[in-house]
Amino acid sequence: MSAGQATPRLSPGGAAVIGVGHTDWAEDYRRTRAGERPGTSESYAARAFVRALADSGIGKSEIDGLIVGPTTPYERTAESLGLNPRWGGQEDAVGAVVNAVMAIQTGMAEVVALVYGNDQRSAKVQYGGPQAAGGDRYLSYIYHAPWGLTSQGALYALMFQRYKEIHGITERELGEVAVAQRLAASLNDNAIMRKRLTIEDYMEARYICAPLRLYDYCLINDGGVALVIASADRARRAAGAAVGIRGVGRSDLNAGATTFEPRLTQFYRPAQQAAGRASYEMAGVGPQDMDAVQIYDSFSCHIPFALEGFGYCGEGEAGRFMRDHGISLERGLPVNTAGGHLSETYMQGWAHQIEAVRQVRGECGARQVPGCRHVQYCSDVAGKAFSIIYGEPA
Amino acid sequence: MTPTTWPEPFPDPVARPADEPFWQSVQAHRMALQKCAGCGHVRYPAAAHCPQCLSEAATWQQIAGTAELVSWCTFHRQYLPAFPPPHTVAVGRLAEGPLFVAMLLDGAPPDGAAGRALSIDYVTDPEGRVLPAFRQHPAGRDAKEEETQ
Ligand SMILES: [Zn+2]
Repeated sequence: MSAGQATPRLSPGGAAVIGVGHTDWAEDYRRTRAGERPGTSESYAARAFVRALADSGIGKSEIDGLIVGPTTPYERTAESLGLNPRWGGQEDAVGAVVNAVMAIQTGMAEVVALVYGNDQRSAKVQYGGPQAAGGDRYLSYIYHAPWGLTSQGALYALMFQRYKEIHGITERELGEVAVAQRLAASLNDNAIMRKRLTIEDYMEARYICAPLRLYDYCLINDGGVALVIASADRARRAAGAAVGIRGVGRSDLNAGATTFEPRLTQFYRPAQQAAGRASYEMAGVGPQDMDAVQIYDSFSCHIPFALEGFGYCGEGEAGRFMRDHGISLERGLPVNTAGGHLSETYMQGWAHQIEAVRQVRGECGARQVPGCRHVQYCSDVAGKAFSIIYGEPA
Repeated sequence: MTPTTWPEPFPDPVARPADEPFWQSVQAHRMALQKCAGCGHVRYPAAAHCPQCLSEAATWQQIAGTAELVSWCTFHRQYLPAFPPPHTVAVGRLAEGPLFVAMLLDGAPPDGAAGRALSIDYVTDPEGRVLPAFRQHPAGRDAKEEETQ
């Protein structure tokens, strides 16, 4: 950290998650596949909110802050839930958690509801092609379409090919991600894809955009997730099991983003390192203290990049780390313990937050990491790197 | 040299007024990029200000047409009508500095090809619209050299 830069701190106690809720995405997936429409983005968000509220044990009237996800309009979502908060916003998953913590820290709100719903499967949202989702926010998603470069998967295929060129990782080593996360999903009743995979299954699957294969891609499904985050003081008086947000960090790489400069020349590493460091300093823990890691995984190769950038292995070592040390519930460092975007549900990082909370609570049943005290969430979507450390409340 | 043609119309580019001189230069087979008059930084995509020194003063400079292969990917699924699979897109670092994305006209390179020399060629679609594209001529030369050794 450069001289004169203030170190961000959480006041004593910080903030804590006091309630989590989600929709039944495995059941809704079956229904959408059968041509039904079990909900809309708004109704999934509302269902998840009702469950998170029940989980927290507090009344709706106590909520004085609201953050909605990017897929539902703020006003309409608040209107449908009958909420008139004194503070509000709209953010993606990790931004929502960080902003809720900041709102609580500054006294703008005491109890913040975070609400996300997405009907992307039944609404047939396109992540590739001329109307690719996200193009309004990230020019790189649509700028190169005249040459046939489209879909976010292709951007990760470019990134993984570059990483192969520099560090020599094999496609078989990358297959460890899909296999490990499917193992986790096989132990999760609410995961969409539960049939175990082998490395051979992975290698035999077709390429979608080489060097990435079918099992390197996330699911597309409907669902909703909600969290209730409160000041540590308020959390102590809540009925539910509170999980502390012990540290947060963020760092961006925006220069050259449209032509993939930070993606292809740095693999977002400097941003990951800075965000990780900030969160570790705030929480007073490091990668060695983490019992599990939740990593934003729209594509499998997020995992090796994050393992290096957030300090779990050295530069260029992720392939060997995944193969020899392991990243599953059975071996090594448990990563994406519910199955992640690849096998559980594609809730754009929201389900990763509630899985981190539940692992620390110790309520994950067959997929529970024994003695789980600290869980890190990492993401680096489009070069905006974030880290959140969940743990026992301070 | 016979012009290279593409059988299907290319997808429309994102409509950005700042890119108009770029597209005009491409149409004339003389691809040009913005060069900052303040600090000399060459930028792509085009913009009103230099991201390095924030100057608005810039000229359009024709590129040399050479690049170095940085990465690539090959679509095995069809997303766009103009590009039936397999379709390979490459990222090259232009001699002027910026990374540039374009289709690779001679297929997917093998692993280990990063660093290969690329050149810019021009491809015309049935509507007469021109795109710059990469060729890896030196790859062909490498292959011949390997044969003779
Ligand atoms: Zn300049």
